[in-house]
Amino acid sequence: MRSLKDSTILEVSITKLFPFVLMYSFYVFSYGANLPGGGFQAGVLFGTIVVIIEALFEHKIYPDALYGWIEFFGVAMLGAALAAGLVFSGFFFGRLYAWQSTSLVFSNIFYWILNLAIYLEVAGSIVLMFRNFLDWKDA
Amino acid sequence: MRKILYCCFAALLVLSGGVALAPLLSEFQVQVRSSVPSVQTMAVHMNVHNMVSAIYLGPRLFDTFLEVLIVILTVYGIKYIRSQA
Repeated sequence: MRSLKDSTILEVSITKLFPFVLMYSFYVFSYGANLPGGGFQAGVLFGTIVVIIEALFEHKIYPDALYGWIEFFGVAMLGAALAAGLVFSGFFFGRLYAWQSTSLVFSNIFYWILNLAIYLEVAGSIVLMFRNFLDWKDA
Repeated sequence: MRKILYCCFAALLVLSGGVALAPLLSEFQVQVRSSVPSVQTMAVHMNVHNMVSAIYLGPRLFDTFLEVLIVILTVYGIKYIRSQA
């Protein structure tokens, strides 16, 4: 019996869609400070396309460890920003908002860093969460 | 062993949240304001045009940080429950 994963149209379209969704998620978090979007939304975009591919074709496209590291880097960046603010100004996340430029992406560099950290953390977490549900035989 | 690691990690996250909040709680005072601070002025000062980002990565950054910790706890919670099933 043929199932969805046997569909060549789905396989080609979704596989080819992956790099574009990845690029769009970069765009969403990069411009998060000035356009609609941000780290959470971009992370969910990335996580969704990975989950769709894995749910449809029933194979992991990257190992769990990679997403674990992505998640870890996101949290480490947030922790580093928190600690850096404490070191430079005596307050958590303090005095880092002054890093500004004239470009649209880096209009406030600290916002971009925070969006990147949240993007990495959410992207890794969404994939790991859904992988655990998908592997769950009792569910 | 893995169960102990999960418990330690969860305890560490809760502890770090407590440490982050402790200085705020020690200086906690109820403030009554008759007007809402201008978010637009703050956004212009920070050179940011997205008001939502200006709030959740500005004055509400600690909320965002704790949200991120909750997402991590969720991942480890699911892993822990799955290991018990």
